[in-house]
Amino acid sequence: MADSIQALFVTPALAFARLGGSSTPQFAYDWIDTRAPRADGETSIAPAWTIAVQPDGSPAPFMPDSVTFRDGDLIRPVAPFYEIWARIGDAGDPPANWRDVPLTPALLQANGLALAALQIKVTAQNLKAARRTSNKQLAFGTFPPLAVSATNNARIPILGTSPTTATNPMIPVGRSIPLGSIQILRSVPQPGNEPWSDSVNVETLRFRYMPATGLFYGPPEAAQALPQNGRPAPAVRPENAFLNRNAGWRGTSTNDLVEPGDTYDVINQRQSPVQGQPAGRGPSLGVVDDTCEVHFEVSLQRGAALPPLTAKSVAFVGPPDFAPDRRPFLSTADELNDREADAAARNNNLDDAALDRWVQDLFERIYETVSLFNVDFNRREIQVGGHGATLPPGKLRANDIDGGARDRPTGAMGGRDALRNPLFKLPAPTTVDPLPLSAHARMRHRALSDLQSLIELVSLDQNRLRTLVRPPFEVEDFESPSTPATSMRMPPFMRQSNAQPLTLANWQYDLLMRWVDRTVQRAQLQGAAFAQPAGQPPPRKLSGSAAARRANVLARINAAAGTP
Amino acid sequence: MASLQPPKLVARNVAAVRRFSDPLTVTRIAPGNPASTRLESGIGNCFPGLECDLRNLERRFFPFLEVDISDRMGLASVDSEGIAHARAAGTLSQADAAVYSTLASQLVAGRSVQVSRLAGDFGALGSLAVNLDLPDLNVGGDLGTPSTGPGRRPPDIWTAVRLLTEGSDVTLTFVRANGTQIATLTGKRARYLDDNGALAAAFSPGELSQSLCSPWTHDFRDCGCFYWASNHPDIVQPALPANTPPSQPWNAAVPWERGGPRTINTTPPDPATEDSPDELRHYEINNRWQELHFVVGRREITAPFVQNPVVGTPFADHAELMANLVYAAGVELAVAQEYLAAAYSLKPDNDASLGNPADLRDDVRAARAELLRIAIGEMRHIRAVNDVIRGLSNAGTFTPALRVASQLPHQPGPFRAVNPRAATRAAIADFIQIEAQSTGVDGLYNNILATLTFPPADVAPFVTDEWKQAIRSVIAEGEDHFETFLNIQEWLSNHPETAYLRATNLQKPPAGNAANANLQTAYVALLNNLFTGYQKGRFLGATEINAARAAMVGNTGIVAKAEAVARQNFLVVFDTPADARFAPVDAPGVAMV
Repeated sequence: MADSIQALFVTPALAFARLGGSSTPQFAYDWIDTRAPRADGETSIAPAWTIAVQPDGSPAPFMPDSVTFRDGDLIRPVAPFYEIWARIGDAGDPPANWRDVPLTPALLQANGLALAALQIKVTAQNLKAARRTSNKQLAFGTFPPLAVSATNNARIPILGTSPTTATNPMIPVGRSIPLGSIQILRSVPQPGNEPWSDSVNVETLRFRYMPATGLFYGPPEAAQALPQNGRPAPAVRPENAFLNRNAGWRGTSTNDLVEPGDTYDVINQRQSPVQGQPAGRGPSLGVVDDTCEVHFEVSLQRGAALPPLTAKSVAFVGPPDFAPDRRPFLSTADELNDREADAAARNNNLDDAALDRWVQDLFERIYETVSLFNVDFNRREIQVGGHGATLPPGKLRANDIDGGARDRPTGAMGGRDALRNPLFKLPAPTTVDPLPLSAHARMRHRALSDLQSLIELVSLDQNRLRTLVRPPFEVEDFESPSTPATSMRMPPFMRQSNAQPLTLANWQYDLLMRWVDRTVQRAQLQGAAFAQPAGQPPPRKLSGSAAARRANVLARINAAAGTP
Repeated sequence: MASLQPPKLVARNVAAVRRFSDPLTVTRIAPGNPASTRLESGIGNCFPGLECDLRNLERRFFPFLEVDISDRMGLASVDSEGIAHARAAGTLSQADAAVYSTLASQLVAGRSVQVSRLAGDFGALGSLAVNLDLPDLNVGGDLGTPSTGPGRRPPDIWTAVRLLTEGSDVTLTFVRANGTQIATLTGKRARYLDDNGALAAAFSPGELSQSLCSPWTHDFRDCGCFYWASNHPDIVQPALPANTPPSQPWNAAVPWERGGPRTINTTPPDPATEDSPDELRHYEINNRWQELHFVVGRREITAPFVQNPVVGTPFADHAELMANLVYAAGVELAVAQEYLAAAYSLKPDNDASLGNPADLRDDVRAARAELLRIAIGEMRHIRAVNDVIRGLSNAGTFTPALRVASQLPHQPGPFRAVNPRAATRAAIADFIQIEAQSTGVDGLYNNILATLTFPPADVAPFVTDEWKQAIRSVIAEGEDHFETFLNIQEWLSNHPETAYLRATNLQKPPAGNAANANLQTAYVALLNNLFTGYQKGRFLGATEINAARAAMVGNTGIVAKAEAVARQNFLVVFDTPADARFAPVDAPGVAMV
């Protein structure tokens, strides 16, 4: 049989669900190139085909006219759909010859299978308390996993309980913590004449995971405010204060298995458990949240003679993406890509045009992050909460670019930082212009998010990007490894997953440097002799109030003139 | 408005790609899912993270083993069931199975097992064998900072494991708590994802999120996490009250996670500073996190978001587009000349009459600086437009566009004559109008962008993302120019024109004026440098373009020569050279008046 089902897969294989208290899930939206060119940044969001789930579990696609994130006081949860696909081919065909098609009841029937042969096993777990205490009995989730037949189109709640083996369960017997729900949608015939017919296949078998609402749970005392203990408000609502205070999570201090170790609600925020240690590592108040990680295992029974086909997908439940049109320049996807064996091959497969597009997209993402980043705050020294290193003599220039206008000239991004571009003088923060460095960073990265400007940067100084962008996982001797204090090498003043200075992923850095090399090579092929920047154009600054702008301009021209 | 264009996803960025997938489909989005379901929306640097803590992947980097990584690497568990399956399948040797068994028995007996040495392929750092710290024995390893330059070693154990190449051989040396060696094992660096892009079977539900904050709001509260700005902003523009335009003081950045009530008052929240903000506090945030505003376009929003697209009208064909690009370059040159004339009409800093009122002198200084800045910015636009013209030209046909426009777009219009003049209130109002959205220069560029976005058949082969982005950038900078002229208008509005202008009716220098002759000579030289530079291209012409920039702002450049003319109380006007390359250009389809 040519359309014999050989394998299954679920798409997306990994997805984020995001908490929200509204009963209406977030409608679909896409990132798009902005169609308002004077908007801040190159990326905007626009509604996309959204699937409403009818009372009978069938999908009803529609196009919203706006992107709505909340209903009144409550945020709309992000509830991903997962499609089940099949790989079909002749028996004995190598996998390379199989074709990917949506799994539908008709395809099942053609393979002699009933819809009831399809089942999803749902395992949701929150292991945070268990990990911090090294006590597996403090896990909670689905014990046992939830099994749902594809013939069941109801929305089925996922309830978190303590393990059935727990002798002293954190969640008392008979109680539970809602961890969301799952619903397998009813497949309906695909119409050919709807506006969405080319975009949404309603015949495809799919399911939706709806996360929890974002509540917190704890023992009875967590419902009390205790200002003298640094608890100005209750950690949980009274109705959620039913956890067993003696189960082991409440009262336990953190261990070293989780870094950073001070990231939980403690009984006394003001009291250090051990002299010299921060107060945040003291005995736990015993609070848990309703996030979880959900694994979905789809299985298709093919009769006694054949093993079932299975496929897996995962939902990670986290907080909302509060800046939905801003993309991180080092995403979860980028990090996963860096751990995969095919990273180099995928890089090599990019032709020059694709590389240009990728580089421009990277710098757009950099701008999108910088646009909401308080560079001034983060550039400060460690002692006051910043991440700006004090530079050794070898990293300093002789003169202060800013003419003494700013503090910490020998700090990273200070007036004497040798990495600074001397063409751009910066003023000190003032009451009317309190964040001049952040504004400057926005201005520079807004320009550099245009490929043309990047090419110009390289054409004027072929080493600039290589000098300025930190190679993956590099740490210099003057950069504090434990409480990160960094130079201004890009990205500056941010920390990576192990609290060291943040860098691009290996594959990102390799691609960027390939682009730099190619750009230099193209220039040299044309016979260009690289020049150093000439002249001294004044800094260009973006918006600010009239007063702030004026103060800024004056500071700038004063610095240029060497006057106070 | 709904999306009419493909989602903005770059295939190379997509993770969890199925091993057998068609490269053309990797950016496909499952219908119904918002972009925030995608892994590209999650922050990759996790300490510990928002949706998952990817460091947990490294805990299973070696087949059948689970390790804890901190200042040491300790063995946490051995997958005996997996080992048995591998033995049955013939994929694991008896010798290795015996080593695994020994390690498992140590754990069962409650004995600590640590990894003392790690050897393998560390990607960009090459093949290495490194000794790891054994803190309990006071034994220091090879890793640490600094970690820079050729031959460097990873700065810590987690980074070392993180760098290991999937599928490459890794050799571990295991020791007991007293440091005596138990065994060595060699295996492949494990895969973290399965063939379909989901987590590999080794990972149990909850493992990737087990080290996140409990509750998650700690990540949203702790100041050390101010580096996740792309979905947890540090600073934003505050939500606007009803019927309030996005102008000052509502454009100043405020802390996003600020404490206090989030009602929208008639005055904005206190601006953000370089000091720690007053944030929602621990515990308090557990019950108030849904009050945090969503942020779009850097501004907090309280209503559904609808982008109001500004879409121009595409030109009919390549010829019309090129004519308008040439005209656009001319418009940039013309407005630069108007802005320079206005800048030099302002009284000099040392003018004694600027001493009263007290802020007059600074108002004038700031206005002049901004006018000069924008004028020079327009020169960059000329370069950008010329790059686009070059890109849209057939090989060998490119001619730099440096002809000054004879008219400027205007409302009501459609055009007005180019009119270099003093920075009178009327002149500044004209500048605001020409930089305003959808009118003036902006309208012209919107039409150009629309043509590149929806190209007619004879334009389509030339269009690249780069040219569209170049035009977008020019348009985006128009917003800065527009806002700046609004500020200049505000600064100068406190003073009568006679207080800040050299004269309200400045005239051109008379024929034979030496200072003006010097200025015109320098201007022609500038145009010649730009023409040569543009014609050579962006790399070959860098020398001439740099020279042109130097000629603009250097001590003996046009700035200084223009100042000399202005000192004589004349208007700074640039004569059109008697050279066909620089002859005035009309708006396409409009005869010169």
